[in-house]
Amino acid sequence: MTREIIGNERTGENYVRIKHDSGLEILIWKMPGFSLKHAIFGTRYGSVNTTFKTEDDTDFVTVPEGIAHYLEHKLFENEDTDVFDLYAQTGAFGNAYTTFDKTCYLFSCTDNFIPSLKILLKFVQEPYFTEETVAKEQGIIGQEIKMYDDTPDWRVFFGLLECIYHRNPVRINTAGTVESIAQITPELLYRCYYSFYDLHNMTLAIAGDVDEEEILKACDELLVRKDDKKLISVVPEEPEEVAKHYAEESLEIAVPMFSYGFKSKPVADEELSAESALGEITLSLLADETSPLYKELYDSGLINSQLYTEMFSGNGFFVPIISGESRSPKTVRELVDKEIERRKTVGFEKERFENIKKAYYGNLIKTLGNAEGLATLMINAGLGHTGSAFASIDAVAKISMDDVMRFLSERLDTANSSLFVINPKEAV
Amino acid sequence: MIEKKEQYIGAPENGIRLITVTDPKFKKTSVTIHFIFPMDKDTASADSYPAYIIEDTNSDYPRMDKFFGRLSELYGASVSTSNSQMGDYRTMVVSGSVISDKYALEGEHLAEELAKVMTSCIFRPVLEDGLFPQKQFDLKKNEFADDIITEINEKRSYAIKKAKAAAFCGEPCAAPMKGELESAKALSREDALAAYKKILRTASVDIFYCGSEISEDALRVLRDSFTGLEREDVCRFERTPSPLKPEPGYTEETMDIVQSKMVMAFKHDSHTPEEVRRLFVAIYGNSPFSLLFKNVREKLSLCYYCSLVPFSSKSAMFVDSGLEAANAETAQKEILNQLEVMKAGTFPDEMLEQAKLATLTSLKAVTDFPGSITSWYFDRLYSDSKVSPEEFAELVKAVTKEQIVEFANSLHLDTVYLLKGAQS
Repeated sequence: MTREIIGNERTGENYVRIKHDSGLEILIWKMPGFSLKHAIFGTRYGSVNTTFKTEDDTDFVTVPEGIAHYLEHKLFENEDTDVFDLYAQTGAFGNAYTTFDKTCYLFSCTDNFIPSLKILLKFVQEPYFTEETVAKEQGIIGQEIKMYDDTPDWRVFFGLLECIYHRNPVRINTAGTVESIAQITPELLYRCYYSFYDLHNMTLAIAGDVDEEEILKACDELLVRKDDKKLISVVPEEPEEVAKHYAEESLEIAVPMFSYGFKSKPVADEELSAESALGEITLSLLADETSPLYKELYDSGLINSQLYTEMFSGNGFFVPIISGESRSPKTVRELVDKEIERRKTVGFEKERFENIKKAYYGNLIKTLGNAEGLATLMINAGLGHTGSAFASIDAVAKISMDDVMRFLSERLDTANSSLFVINPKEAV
Repeated sequence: MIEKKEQYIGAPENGIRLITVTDPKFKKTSVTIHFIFPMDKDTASADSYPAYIIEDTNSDYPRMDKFFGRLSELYGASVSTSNSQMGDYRTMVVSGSVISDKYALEGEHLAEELAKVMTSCIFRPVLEDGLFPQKQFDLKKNEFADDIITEINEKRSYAIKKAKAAAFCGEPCAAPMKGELESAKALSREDALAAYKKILRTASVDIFYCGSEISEDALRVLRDSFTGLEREDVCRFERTPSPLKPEPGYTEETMDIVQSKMVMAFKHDSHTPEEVRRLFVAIYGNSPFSLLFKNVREKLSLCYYCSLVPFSSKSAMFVDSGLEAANAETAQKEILNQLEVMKAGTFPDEMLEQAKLATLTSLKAVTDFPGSITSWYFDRLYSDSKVSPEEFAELVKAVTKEQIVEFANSLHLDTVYLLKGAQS
């Protein structure tokens, strides 16, 4: 077992990183005086991991879309009990989520932390799938998928990804489709489980007023040591160009919604935090409420106050996005493109640049008093191989205007962009 | 350790309270100012509009880009406004937050600066010839109108809103909080200014300052701003339970969506202590071990969510769920069956203990965040139970199964609203 302290001078904060003998990475952020404790047990397994093999397999297998999320639901059911019933006995609130590149199981509590941690460590390592229990989940997840089908924010986001990517599985709803989940069997679930739920592929992140020694004792007791299975997960080769420059659909909404994204080369894990933070700062400079672009769009009535910028990035995907509501999304796109080209020539205002960096620092400070926020920061760093939970704050401190201009020119290519629009039904 | 102080600004009959809550562990300072006044369907649009016009400019920063630039400079401070509902009353809330002064890299007095920005928004909005500037007024009016029509976008909250209108029909809170689109479009600058002035004159005001320590400078800015405010007919909040319909009402609406939404509104007696109601909610339908979760979702696989939402100020509770239209009747029967289990007291004793544990966890967590401790003490101001989270925890521990059963028996179905998906 190895142990190191990862700290940050600007905030005076630190956390502990332990590489446990079982292969699991354990991250602990101590928060003296706080009541809430938050633990996340996560694996590098998300909706994009549909084709994979381990050293035990002779060939790659491709599994149905949405299976990582399905597995997350089913892991909550053991042979003789329901995990929620176990948490109910300790007063902890359990939950889980699946993203494009990770699946995380979590709980929050104020008392009984170690008993709750033991529940978490145990159930995630004890899969139990039968024909009957797998079939039962179809109705529940089917309703979850349908709920998202009616959610415009969700649809406009995936509509954009379908335009940007040809084959990358990131374009598929993390929960899959009603048809794809119908193909899921206990055997497939077990195969996915034993490939990805390998402690060498996982991280445990804990934040709160906790005792490190007790945590390690629970881990020693419950973590099942196994050899590294040398997992390989592949995504189909993706062309550099977007799949479509424009697409639209209609939903029961009142004002058209749009999402405008730029296809950009994926970034290596160790550079992801820094490059994503640079992207956030560049997008803020381009289009936040202090920008001339926002003022022009707002004053001309092209947008209401809803204009968002976001960096969508992870293992194998990198897309800067601008989204909002507008009755003329194509005009918004034209003006955004025009502003990007202008900025490539004239650059940005220094004062705004410094203020946006200050705001970034402030947002991290606000997270410091939040156990869930800190555990999430650590699990993202751990599973994302980004080195440290402070990687982005450290990176922001070093970002220069030259970096911003490089990002603008390399990653905001207006010729390789996609616009997706959702129109109100009656307008189509 | 939490320290709380409460005082009036000016005479108590002026209805302006300043509550400070401090704990050295907090990393940020939050200031929340609630203006409370009665719901009135005839002036709903005008009453909602001031929250829009004062949100992102003031006389010190009359342009939006300068205003947000100032917030960035204050390490990403936030200032926002909102309209919300509390029974038959509405609240205009102005909230702000900023990192604690101790984290300022250049020794800035951030709490004080935040208070200055917020009070400038409230008391010194941008005016032109004594009215909100025409251009800004028109843009905000369009934004306001968009907010009214886009309420349809989120189907779950839309269904709850429609169920409220049906369940509380004829009562002030049944009216749309932002009014109808036509009245929003018809608003004039004079109407908006009059509504803004009426709020300052008549609303009861609760100011919460919450942070790692008291900034006397920030409190001075807040006190000075509210001192001497002209006041008349100051709002006095009263709880008004909603009467039960003689027979349950059924409303159905069809929309071209995939998943149907069903909301069942129940009404209950208004005298049951809060701790009993809270445990009932956890056991019947607001936790992963609740009867609704276990039976309607897990056992019958009818929906992804089926949970209980309390509307305490109206002595009502709503069960909302997303499902196939064809399953609505089955789900309705099961929701009522499980209520019968509560009424008969045949739920396992251990569920009460589990509900207590979960509630105690939530209560302890309240003190971790400026936002949650502010909400706690704001709710206390309008509740019969004026206690701290720790004191409330003791009340929770003492609740008996008999009290839960007695409360369950006071619950009656009042309204069923179904938003039927045409593609469902």
